[in-house]
Amino acid sequence: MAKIEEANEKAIKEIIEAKPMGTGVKKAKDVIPGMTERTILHAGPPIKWERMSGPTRGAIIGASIFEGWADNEEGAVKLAESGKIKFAPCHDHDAVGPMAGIISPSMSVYIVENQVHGNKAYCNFNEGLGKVLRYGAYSKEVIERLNWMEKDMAPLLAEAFKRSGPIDLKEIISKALHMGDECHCRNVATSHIFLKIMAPHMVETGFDKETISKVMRFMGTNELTFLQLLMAACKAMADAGHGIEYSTIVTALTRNGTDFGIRVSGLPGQWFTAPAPTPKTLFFPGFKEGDEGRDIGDSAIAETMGLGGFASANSPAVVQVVGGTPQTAADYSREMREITVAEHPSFTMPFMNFRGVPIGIDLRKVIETGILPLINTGVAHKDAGVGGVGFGLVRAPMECFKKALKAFAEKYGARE
Amino acid sequence: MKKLMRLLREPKIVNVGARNFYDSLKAQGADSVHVDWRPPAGGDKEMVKLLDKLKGL
Repeated sequence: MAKIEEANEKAIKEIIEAKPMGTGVKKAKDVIPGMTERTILHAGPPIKWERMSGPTRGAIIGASIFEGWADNEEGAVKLAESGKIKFAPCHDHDAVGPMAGIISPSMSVYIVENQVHGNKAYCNFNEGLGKVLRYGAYSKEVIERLNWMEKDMAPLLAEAFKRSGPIDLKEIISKALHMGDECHCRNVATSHIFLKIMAPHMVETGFDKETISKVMRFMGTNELTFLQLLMAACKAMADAGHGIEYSTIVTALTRNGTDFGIRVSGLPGQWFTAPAPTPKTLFFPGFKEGDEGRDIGDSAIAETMGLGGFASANSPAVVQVVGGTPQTAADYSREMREITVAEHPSFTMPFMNFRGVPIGIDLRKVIETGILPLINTGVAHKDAGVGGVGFGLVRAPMECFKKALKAFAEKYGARE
Repeated sequence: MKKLMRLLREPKIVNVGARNFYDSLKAQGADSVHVDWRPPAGGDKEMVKLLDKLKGL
């Protein structure tokens, strides 16, 4: 068998065999590798403060206030400009973050362990929609919510995880795909299943009733509660297939609001970037065209794993937000088969005769067919401090894939 | 033979590539099918060359 085909088969085998388990909650600085007291992780490929998008800057301002490094916007901006904060991509630290994807040292994160290969992945908590840090908002209510999450929610979840033992996240995703989720923009079923599993353990912690009730209500009314666990699970699975010599499989699609970046299994340690596109957006009430920022967030790790836009057939409701029909949704999933090498046996789509979601984006296929990965996404306001403006659909830019193919050919000696 | 004659009398049009030709044929009531074809790598010669080279690996 040709080297590339053999390598891709191995990468997909590892990715499919991976078994991500939710095992606990701890402070980022205590568990994320390389996280120092002055590190801030962000979504997407590497970027300097000067080139950061509005929502990323806004979330960094908020994180600096949350950490107590600054009292206000002015102080936080000054600190960021001083070079005293180390900015780094979540992906380079075994982590993922939705939207701006800001993880600062004192934030609590979910710990996800891939029980088959031993690698871990981390992601912070979901704050809900609207004025939230991950969309670039940093007002008083945003900081107060983050503080409450640290004070009440994190200790309760940490204790509940000790009681529950490892939670099989792959099983939750598999079930939710049969309950109308595409597991990116729609995480209704995943969130409900997770809460159902955790509820008795939370009650049994012995924490006071008011705290338990408030946390359960917060998690129960937030239909994106599970997104962060899902992302960490996807990261843990995708990383199992990363770093395999000769493999052309894409192991991360991600954005920072300025650049779109991809990682390729056979090219570890390298990022391939292009300007981030602007999503086609359905706006929340009060927002209009022109308010939206460019594509942002590590959450496209869902699409990397065949979920989200790739599993559109499961969630016509998501496609409907941009005027699509159930037929359009099915067509999207079919189209993504053209650029992938396998179907996931555990993640299946009822409306596609239970065929598996298309998985394993092959760099060569994207370039050859011109078909670009489809991503379902949240959309942030282009300016710092505002928050979310809607949901949308977007395609990864071709330029990243072209750069990666050139690097691949160079590394593996296929260039003239 | 009958079928062959029918084909000659009633032309069927297979449109390959640009969809607007197919759309205008349909608008005029012509019997046509569309094949969604694009040149490999969108015609980018450098990419086509690299893809060809990778076939040897």
